[in-house]
Amino acid sequence: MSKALYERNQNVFAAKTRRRRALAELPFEEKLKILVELQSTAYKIKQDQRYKPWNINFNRASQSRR
Amino acid sequence: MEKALQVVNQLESEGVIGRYAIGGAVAMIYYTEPTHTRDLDIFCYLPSDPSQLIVSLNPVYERLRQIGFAELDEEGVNVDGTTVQFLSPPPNSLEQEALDNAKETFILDIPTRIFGYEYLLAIACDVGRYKDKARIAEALGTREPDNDKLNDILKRYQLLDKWRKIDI
Repeated sequence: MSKALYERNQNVFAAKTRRRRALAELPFEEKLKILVELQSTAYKIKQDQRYKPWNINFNRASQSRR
Repeated sequence: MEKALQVVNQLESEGVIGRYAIGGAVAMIYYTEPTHTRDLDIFCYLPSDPSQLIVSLNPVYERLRQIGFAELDEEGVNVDGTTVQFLSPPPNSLEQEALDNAKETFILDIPTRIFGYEYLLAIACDVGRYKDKARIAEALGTREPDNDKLNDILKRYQLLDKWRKIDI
């Protein structure tokens, strides 16, 4: 692997790590919103009632403390 | 999900379950990046009945049925669209210690408790399925644990060797 390609890969990996760490720092309520999106995607694929996304009223729960 | 948390709090206040805390994937998401899950794992003490040798979840399911949540399958109880699994930790287990030391918090403005991060990592190590190992790797990639605390837990539950063997 060329040095340039190696460095490019390292930059990509570092950016991925930064993004994942940023996601980990989100307030829990924001993480739940992402989780519900993931559940919605799984439900569309599986078409199984057990995979229905969770029912969460994010408007009512204005803030989740950490 | 907020309904599920409210119902679990109700069960605790009524004495149907004892102290409880959230474990499993939802607890891990609390500390790390969001990943897919569809279960809410509730670890709880169950009031003991001296006439029964085996601790039973039947009183929990019966009370849930009374308040309108009768949909039960092998994976848990459906509470307003959230599959809730009630798990009773064995005496003197890692899960019991995690429950005793669970962090008080609010989720969706509802008071609750959640397992500590280091306990979640140790439990995942102890359970040791592929998905648990993957969960550990993902978690460590996003948040550093308190290593003193984690090592203490791993040492006391004879999990240090198992931890070292996980290819992270």
